[in-house]
Amino acid sequence: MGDTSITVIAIFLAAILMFIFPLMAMADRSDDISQLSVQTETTEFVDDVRTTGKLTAAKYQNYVEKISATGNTYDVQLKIQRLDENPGKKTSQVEATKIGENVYYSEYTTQILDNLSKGNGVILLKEGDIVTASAKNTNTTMSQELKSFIYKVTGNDQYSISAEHSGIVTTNGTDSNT
Amino acid sequence: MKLQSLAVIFVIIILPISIIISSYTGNQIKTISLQTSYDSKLNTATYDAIKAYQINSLNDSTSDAATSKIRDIEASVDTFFNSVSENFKISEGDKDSIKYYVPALVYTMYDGFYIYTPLKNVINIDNTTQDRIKLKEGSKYQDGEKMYGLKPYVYYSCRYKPDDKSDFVITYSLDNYITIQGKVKGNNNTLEDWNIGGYLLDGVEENNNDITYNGIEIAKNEKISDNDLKENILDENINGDELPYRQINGTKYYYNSVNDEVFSIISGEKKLITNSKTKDYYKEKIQNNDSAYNYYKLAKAFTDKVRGNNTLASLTFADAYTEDGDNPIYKKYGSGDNNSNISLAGFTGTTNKIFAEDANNLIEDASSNFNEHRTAVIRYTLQRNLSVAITNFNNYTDSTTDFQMPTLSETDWYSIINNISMISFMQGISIGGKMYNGYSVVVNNKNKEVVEEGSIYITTEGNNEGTINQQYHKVNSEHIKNENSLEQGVFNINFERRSFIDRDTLETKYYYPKNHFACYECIVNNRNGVEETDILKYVKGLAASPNSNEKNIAKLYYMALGRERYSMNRTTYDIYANNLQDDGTTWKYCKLTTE
Repeated sequence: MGDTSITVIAIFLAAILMFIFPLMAMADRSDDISQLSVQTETTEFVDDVRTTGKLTAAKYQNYVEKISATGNTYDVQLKIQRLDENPGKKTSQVEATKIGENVYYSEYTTQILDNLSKGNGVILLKEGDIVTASAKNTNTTMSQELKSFIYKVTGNDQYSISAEHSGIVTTNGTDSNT
Repeated sequence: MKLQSLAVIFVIIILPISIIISSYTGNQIKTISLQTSYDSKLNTATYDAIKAYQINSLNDSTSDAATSKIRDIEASVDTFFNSVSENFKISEGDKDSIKYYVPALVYTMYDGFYIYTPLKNVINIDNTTQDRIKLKEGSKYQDGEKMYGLKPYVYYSCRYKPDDKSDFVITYSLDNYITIQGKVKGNNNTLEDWNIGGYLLDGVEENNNDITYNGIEIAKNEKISDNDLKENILDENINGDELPYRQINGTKYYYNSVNDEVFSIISGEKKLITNSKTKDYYKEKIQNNDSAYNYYKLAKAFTDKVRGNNTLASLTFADAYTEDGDNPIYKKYGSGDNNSNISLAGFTGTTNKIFAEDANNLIEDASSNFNEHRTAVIRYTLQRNLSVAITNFNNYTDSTTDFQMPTLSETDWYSIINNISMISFMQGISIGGKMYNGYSVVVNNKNKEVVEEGSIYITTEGNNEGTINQQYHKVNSEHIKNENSLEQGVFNINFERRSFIDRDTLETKYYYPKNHFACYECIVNNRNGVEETDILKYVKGLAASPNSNEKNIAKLYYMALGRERYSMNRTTYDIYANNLQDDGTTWKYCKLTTE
């Protein structure tokens, strides 16, 4: 009787050690690589937008396709902050010794995607605007599944792959530059 | 063997493999994230440097003079290294160490560029060699010392030898201004000495001293509803009032009718013109602003002059020679055994005439032969000089890296060729598995160097109730087509903040030359523009439109473009301009006289 239970425990342990452990290790590496590729793509996407001053539907599609190639689904959030120097200008006009504050107007993902789908699918930015993009996975990756098999993590917002990059736009976007 | 033992053996095998793989991927991730973070840091530092250059040059009335330009660039270089060391968390004392990884910083200007790179300082240490600069006593410099500095200005120029006699150099710029210097075979087979510069323009018609450009009449005296052109100026005595002004040769002259005085602001100080004759001259110039008119008139004369010479009229891409004059460029780099990535697109073709006349493809159009060749020359000079500078860096650094010029993307070349910009290079820093080799290009849209086609904004007057302020708009914005309070075309830097130090209170005061606010549609949000890759072509369309308002936009735009380009500091142009006014036929050098 005792022998049987030990054997059962041993088989169970062996299964964990021989299957789950290597599988988890591999799944973790695969997540790492996805993380790397998503981070790189996000940085490249944002840097491309901020050095050309132009966000196009094609650039966005390309970015989403590239991160989807990691086999996961992602929630991509975009944010554009438009610099408005007019309030600062008003302050200086009233009192010459003051510079005044600049104001940023923000546009978020839905607005941006809406604008991208309209017309020629181009959003032009100007020098001083700020672009932010972030991506995190919405599906459960294998590594997450295996982990939850061993220890349960609860909560709505679970993700193991996430990347964010933002930066200031360095040039005025025009139709002529690519 | 027991199952347990098998499991233990399995774990013993798998564990190290998994550890190694995880550390390997960890390293790779580190390398790539380091690389992207370095790219961002380099980009940030370059942007900081450009910002520093903008602030310095816009606040200085003499920034278009070569010495001031060098000073502004050196300040910008300092900003770059400060920013880099800040980003890389390098302590103040160690700041210079980053220089070992920066082979070159390039500042492209209107008609050439500066390279900031290490160089060997050559000084006449014992004061024996005649042709070297003498060293002052107690100088900290040493002969043969390696130091960092700006190399002499390199022009975007190209040598031409179309026949056995002619041998001349054409210097190009970011717009349609060129300078021709050297020996050109005249129409009667004699060699002529040429040293003239000017803007090339098709589309200008001259009839009894009336000038039209693309069908739009160019006024002889630019006014805004009978008033002279005005802008704000801040001084101890003038508190941000609008004064009539005119920019001549890069310097703005203001007329204050209250005290009946004409002055300019040099280095933050008001410089009154005391000589009454000179004052009257400038006063008359300010009240009769014919800059735009002169721009088109002279451009036409210059274009006719160039086309009137058979040698120049038949000059082709293939006549472009290398600097030493031995070989045409397309022959030297066309054989394929030169390991250069020089693009020959603008250098080949014995039928492609540089100054070709074509009614459907005007010389100022982006697609003209002239512009194709011009951009090729700019790219060629940059590539040649940069690769030399970066390769030479190997002689100056102790780093074991082999410094080489990275391949710049076509998008980056496009920005460099069409804008004032800064290119920074950083190489040789170890980032885990590999060596970092990156570059960054940042363009400078707000500068006094060049009046780009897109940098002319159209202003509108606000209505009386003050609900809508005076605004400025892009020329290709959709909503100004129906705007009936169009005012004038303004060069974009006049909407930028200027600073001024009050000498009495030592307070820094700020003002804007133009009070207009940015339009929320086309400037702040940069939308609602008519999609147009070529602004000049778009305005040409407006000029041909039956709608009088659209015609008016074209007129304001052409006037502003002409006015701003004419008032830039262009030495040869001015000599030529003065010549032509005195006597329409002579083209010899003469001294510029203003009194």
